[in-house]
Amino acid sequence: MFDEEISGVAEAALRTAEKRGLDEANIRVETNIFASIDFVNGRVVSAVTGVERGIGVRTFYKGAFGFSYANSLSRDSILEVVEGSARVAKYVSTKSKEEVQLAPHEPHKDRIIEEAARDPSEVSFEEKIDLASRVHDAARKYDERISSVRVLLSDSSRSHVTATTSGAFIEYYRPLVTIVLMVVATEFGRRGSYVKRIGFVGGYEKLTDEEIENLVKLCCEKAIVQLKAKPAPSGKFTAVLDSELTGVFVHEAVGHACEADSVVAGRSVLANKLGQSIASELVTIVDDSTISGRWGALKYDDEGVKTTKRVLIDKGVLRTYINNLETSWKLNVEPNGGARAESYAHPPIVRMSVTYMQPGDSTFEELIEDIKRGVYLRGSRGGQVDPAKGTFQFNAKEAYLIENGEITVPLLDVSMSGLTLETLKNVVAVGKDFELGVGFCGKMGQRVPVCDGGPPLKVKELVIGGRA
Amino acid sequence: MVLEDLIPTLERLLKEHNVKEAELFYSKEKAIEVRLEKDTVKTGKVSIDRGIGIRLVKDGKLGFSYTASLSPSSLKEAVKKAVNVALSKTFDPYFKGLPEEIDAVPVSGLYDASTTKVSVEEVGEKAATLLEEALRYKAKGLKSVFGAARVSIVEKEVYNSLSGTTISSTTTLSSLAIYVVAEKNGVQATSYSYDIKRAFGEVDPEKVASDACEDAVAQLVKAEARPGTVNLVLHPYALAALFSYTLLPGLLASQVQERLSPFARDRGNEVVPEFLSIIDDGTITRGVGSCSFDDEGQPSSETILIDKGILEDFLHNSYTAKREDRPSTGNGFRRSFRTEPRICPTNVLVESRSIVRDSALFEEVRNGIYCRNIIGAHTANVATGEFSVVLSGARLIENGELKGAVRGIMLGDNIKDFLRKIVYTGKAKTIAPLEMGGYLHSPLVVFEKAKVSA
Repeated sequence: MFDEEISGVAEAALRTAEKRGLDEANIRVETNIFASIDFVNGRVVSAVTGVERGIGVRTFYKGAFGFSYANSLSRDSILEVVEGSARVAKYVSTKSKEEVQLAPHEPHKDRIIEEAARDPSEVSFEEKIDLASRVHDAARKYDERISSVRVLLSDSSRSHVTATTSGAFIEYYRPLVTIVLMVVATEFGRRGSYVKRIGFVGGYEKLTDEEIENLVKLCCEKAIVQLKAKPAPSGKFTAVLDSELTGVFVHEAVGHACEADSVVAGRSVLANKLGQSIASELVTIVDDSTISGRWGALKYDDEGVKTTKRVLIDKGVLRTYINNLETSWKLNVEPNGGARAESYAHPPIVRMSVTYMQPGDSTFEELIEDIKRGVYLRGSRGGQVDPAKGTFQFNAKEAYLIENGEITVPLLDVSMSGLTLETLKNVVAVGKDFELGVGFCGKMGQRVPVCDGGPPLKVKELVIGGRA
Repeated sequence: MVLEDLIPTLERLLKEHNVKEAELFYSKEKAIEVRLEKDTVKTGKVSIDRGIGIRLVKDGKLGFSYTASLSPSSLKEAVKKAVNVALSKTFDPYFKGLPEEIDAVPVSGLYDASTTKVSVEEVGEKAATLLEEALRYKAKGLKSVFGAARVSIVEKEVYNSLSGTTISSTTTLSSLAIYVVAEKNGVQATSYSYDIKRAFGEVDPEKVASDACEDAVAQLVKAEARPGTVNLVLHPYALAALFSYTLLPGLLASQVQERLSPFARDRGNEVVPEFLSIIDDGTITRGVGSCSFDDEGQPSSETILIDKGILEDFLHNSYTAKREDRPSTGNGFRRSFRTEPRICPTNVLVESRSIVRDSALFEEVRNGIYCRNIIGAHTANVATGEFSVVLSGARLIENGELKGAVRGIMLGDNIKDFLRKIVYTGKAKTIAPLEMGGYLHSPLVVFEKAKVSA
């Protein structure tokens, strides 16, 4: 349940901050009750349960920001954090060569409580360990070739207040549960592996037997297929990406470049390109924070601004960036609620929420039917992007050769790379199916829940790196 | 010492719960940081983060919990939670208890008294100097500068109920980091550099700024590389990124015991050319990754992982060490008091006996690619050692000279095969932070017949 005490702490901090002659103070107070279990090959290797409480204060004074936090809500800590943050902002303002303001915005007062039938904070630790062990056992028993299984189960019940001297006061309560399953299959000295995360806003009622069965089946079957994988060719190919990998491309290569902090800092390949055609007309990409109850979505951002659905690319034309109050002022646009912080211990920065490409009208068969020799890439083990140069690299979780319109041989450890702008132009067909996946996005040392996804995608001239 | 006052309460609580083995870990980190953003001093941050992690053994099982509050009532709550965690766990046949003893080895130079007195303003001045030094490169094509100056003071204490003793340490760490973007005629290039020292007075803004700016500006000239097999020179920053997700996880006993290391069966085998040794040494004087004891109170040590090419040992914490009935290597570290110790390197030293003077290195290589950074290393398959990465900030070596930047080059290999391609190294070592924790101290390393695609 929402921790009522933190609202009082936020009010006390607001009163202290109001006396400091600042241009703005953003106060965030939170209580987060969480548990995490790391279950590897039949054993609990780590089990943690804890309560995290703290206050973080971002102050703004004459174009400069100060930030301070403490993991304590004592009266002394509140004072120390507000004073410390104000002092830093005032010092930095003497050094800063930049004229900045925070964009005008409507301050909201609201209370959003997301109920869970089985709130994580009310489920016993024993039951959670039992669940992790059941997932483990199911994967282990799935096939005799499954040689290693790791289950990461974690949950949190987070109460959070964002209060600003501009008048915002938002109280939030959000429970989350998530499981990551990692499976290794071994046969005749060969290895295959697969990993997948599922996650929900809500409590343990969301981790149904059906969800778990599907997760186990998916991971085990994919790991087993990898046992037969062959080294992949290298070079330029026509490639088909599945929904998950499309989502990763959209998030990593396009979404990050649309984050206005990178844009104004000259670190984005999409800077100064609003209104320009940067992608195939088939491409529409959206970052939507407003989908109620969705992992990664949120009604208000951590600057207290109401969030929006942002159409980043509309039929190939770059339309919008994701903004916080500072970048909105710099770019002279309406704030669109894109500032998020991992926790009280971090200042809000520009982030994505639920980012996806809109589906088109091709069936999967239509996507592959005219490919003589190409590659079908599924999922992503991760990737990396340089948003300034617009280069990206992703490793697929699994890959297959496409020969004469048919999916044939599974391939080993395949990665794709390229230039974002070229790749967006090289989209030649967009599938009609649609899926969203859950995950976490890391930026500047902060990790926040996000969703990404889209349809299967056909791209020409993609650079594929393999070992053959 | 902070724990001293809590020990009588702890001992009473342990009796109440009938617990014989327990450990308290206290840490307090005070940090000041000032950041540069797009050519200006932009934000500052001060923070204090402190608390206690408790581990205890109940019914032969390990329980962990933590508290940010240091009051006896919070400790009571934390002990209760840790007992509950232990009771709800499944029995782990490999868990052989907490360390029986705690001890420290003397390592000097990890604490600098003047660094503990540094103010926000002084950190800000250092950041401002870093910026000014970088801005000198504007005429050469520098576009924008980002970076940070930071100091932290870390206090740690470990109490072990089996020995009934407490050990403590206070260390300081200072760092400068810079990220620069250069641009000319529509060509963009980026680079970064660090300086990490124990004493704030020793970090050198001029060196950090010129290192990154020179590199970024040099990349503004384009060059073409042909795919195929090439001589590849990797800078320690590139090696740190690659090793963090391939070689080094493979040398952690936890990965080896779980059969998730490509080196699991390689003890006694030659895994790198015989002129190379790789050592984890937590006892180096003033070393940025050094400590006198780890976060389980185990003494820091020098561990020879690879000796003249032969894989000799792995890194341990007390859990993996007891599982093999051997002493810990003193590599049990926590991200903070909130987490349990995992295995993490300290100072990883790449020692070479096949050295070419740095000034003659590119001449020796003749033709190939020099690469300062790689992207995508975290997509490597830790269990198998397969990796496929993009070379970033890569430059062509032609007829013994360093030329313009080559882009979009991918490197794919298995780490075991790749390490065998090392032919010689440079001399001077650069310190690069490892994403898994700890630091790599390495010279430039030259690989032959590296497979690249463009």
